Amino acid sequence: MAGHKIKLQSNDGDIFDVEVEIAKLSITIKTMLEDLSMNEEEIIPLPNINSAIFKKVIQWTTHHKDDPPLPPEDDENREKNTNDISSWDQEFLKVDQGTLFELILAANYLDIKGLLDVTCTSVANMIKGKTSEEIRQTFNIKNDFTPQEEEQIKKENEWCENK
Amino acid sequence: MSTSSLHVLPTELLHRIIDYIDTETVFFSFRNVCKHFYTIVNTYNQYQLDFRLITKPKFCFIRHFIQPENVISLVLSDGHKTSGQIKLFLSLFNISLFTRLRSLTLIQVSESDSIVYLQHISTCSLVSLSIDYRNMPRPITTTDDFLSTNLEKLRNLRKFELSVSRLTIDNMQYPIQHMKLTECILNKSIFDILLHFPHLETLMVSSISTPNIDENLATTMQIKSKLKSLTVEGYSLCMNMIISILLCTPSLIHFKLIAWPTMPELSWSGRWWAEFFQKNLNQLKLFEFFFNKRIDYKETKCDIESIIAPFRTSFWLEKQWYVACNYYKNTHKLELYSIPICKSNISYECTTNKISSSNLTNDVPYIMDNVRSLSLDIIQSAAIIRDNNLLSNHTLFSRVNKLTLLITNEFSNDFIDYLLKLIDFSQLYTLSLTLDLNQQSFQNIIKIINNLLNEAYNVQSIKLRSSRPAYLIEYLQTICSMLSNQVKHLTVYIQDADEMQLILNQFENFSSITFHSNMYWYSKFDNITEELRMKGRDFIYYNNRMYASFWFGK
Repeated sequence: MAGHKIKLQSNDGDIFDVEVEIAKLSITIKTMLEDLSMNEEEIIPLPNINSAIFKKVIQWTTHHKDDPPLPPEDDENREKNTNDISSWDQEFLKVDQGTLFELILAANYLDIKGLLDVTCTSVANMIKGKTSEEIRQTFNIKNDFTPQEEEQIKKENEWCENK
Repeated sequence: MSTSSLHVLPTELLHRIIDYIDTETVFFSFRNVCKHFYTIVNTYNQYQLDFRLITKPKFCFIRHFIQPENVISLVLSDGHKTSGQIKLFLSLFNISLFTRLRSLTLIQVSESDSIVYLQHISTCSLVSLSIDYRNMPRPITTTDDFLSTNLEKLRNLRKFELSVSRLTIDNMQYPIQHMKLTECILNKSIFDILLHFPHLETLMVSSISTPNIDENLATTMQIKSKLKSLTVEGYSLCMNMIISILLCTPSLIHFKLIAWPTMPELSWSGRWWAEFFQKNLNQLKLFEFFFNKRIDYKETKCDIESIIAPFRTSFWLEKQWYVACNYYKNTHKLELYSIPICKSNISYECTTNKISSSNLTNDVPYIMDNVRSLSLDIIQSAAIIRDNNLLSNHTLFSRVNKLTLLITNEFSNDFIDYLLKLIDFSQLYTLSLTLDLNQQSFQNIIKIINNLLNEAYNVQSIKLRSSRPAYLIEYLQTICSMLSNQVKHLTVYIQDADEMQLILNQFENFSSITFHSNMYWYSKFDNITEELRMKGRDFIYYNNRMYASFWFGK
């Protein structure tokens, strides 16, 4: 029913009133409501999501509530889509890396394919075309290869890069 | 939630991120970041390998890591940057071992190679097939039957794209949902496509040849297609045919028409389209179109306003379907199009040459966002000054990756400044230059090319031609010395095989070199390849009578 709301609780205790139709963009919440026959009056806990991230999730789902549904996905049809991100999503994803990764985890936990796609695409775009060292610097990752392993990688890359 | 770093994301999410990263970055950068990523890449089993732009050494390196059963998508190309790749891949792998392959794309493939792939591919797993033939297969060949026969076998195929081919549609029902046909000759009409492809949701046809349709038959057939998106592109399209098709597709959400349609009293009329859509296509959410025609000189701005006026009604404005009309004074060309322009390839003329009108009241920044390939003729300084005042502050062409320019002695730095205002040079991947070279113009043209290359710092492919090829060969060394290491692909228009030999001997740093000529060079071609082999060059190639393309390894 349009406008009908449910209560969702983040792991830091905040309670959010969210329209059912928007909340159901999350397959996890949809399943809780439909398959597990959860009472819509009950407060549904979301133990893996804090309120700051959940606010962003609601913002995204509210904007995308009228999008056509994406085809169901299994492991076999995770095909590479376009890396284009709409201008609204680009603006939405202008966040620090920590928030971006927490959004990915939240989208995965809540099973919101559209949000998961766009956040993963955003990270992929930060990686594409970069060297290993640039990726390490971008994401603050330690190079833990042994000097021998590193030498081997360097040789392989030099062999290919000279063309 | 404590996780806030890339390398501690769960493996399945890192795999999902890899889904969106190009093949080269996955193997040569991401994999070598740390031990964890090295393992992640090695255990990944959803490889979507796209080898369209890869260098031969990298291709040969990656092949050692390919486990055929872990590949779900494969893009191979015999285009000029990777000539001979499709056959090379066949020599390295047993195609039948790619048992989980869901998507196969063959670009610029020969008839014979396509047959081998289709013979050995796993027909039960393939969901998407795209074949772009190098040449139109000869009439009634094995390929023709082979392709059609295989299409029937691919029971799980949902997406099918075919370019430069014949296609025989049998009297059966195909499961395909998305189909794109470009420069194809079909044995049946578009109505038959709708009839035999009942699950079709997306249909894109561009420059196809079909038998004439019987419009009366079409109305009695009462086809009600599930089609949601229809794109029709062609030169002289019969409006009656378009109307008949649209009457069979009541579920259409997106309709795109790029044409020089007949019956301009209908096709150029905003009033007619509005009434037609209201009556027949009330689910339509997006109508994209681009029409053009040449008109009499006498027609003036008033006529443009009369064309645009019907597009200012609430029907168009409420749907935010914005439309513009341009009249080019020097060429007497009239264009009518939806905004943003729905063509990917355009030739731009400076604004001072045209009279424009639109149902939009303000300029919008996205008008050229679909344009990927842009060509410009030289614009005189006076026109540049006038045009600069008309151009808005934002870059008009922000996503163009190929720029085609004519460079003469009149080409000024003012023109470069103008181009920088017009185009986002950081997006350019290919620069195609026609040079008016001679002894007088040489110095200036070289300087201009240098300035252009400094701005277009991401260019990887350069095409050069001159009305006087001998001068191009003479100055090629100087031009190529200005190219950064990032430029991997060179295309040159030459006169004869001797020039080809000279260039191949001079330049060893390109990943690919492609030659075009107006002359046949068959007799000397074998000598050239033999000499390259004797010099120890690693290469494969494709050639015909007036074209040759080499893909170099180490």
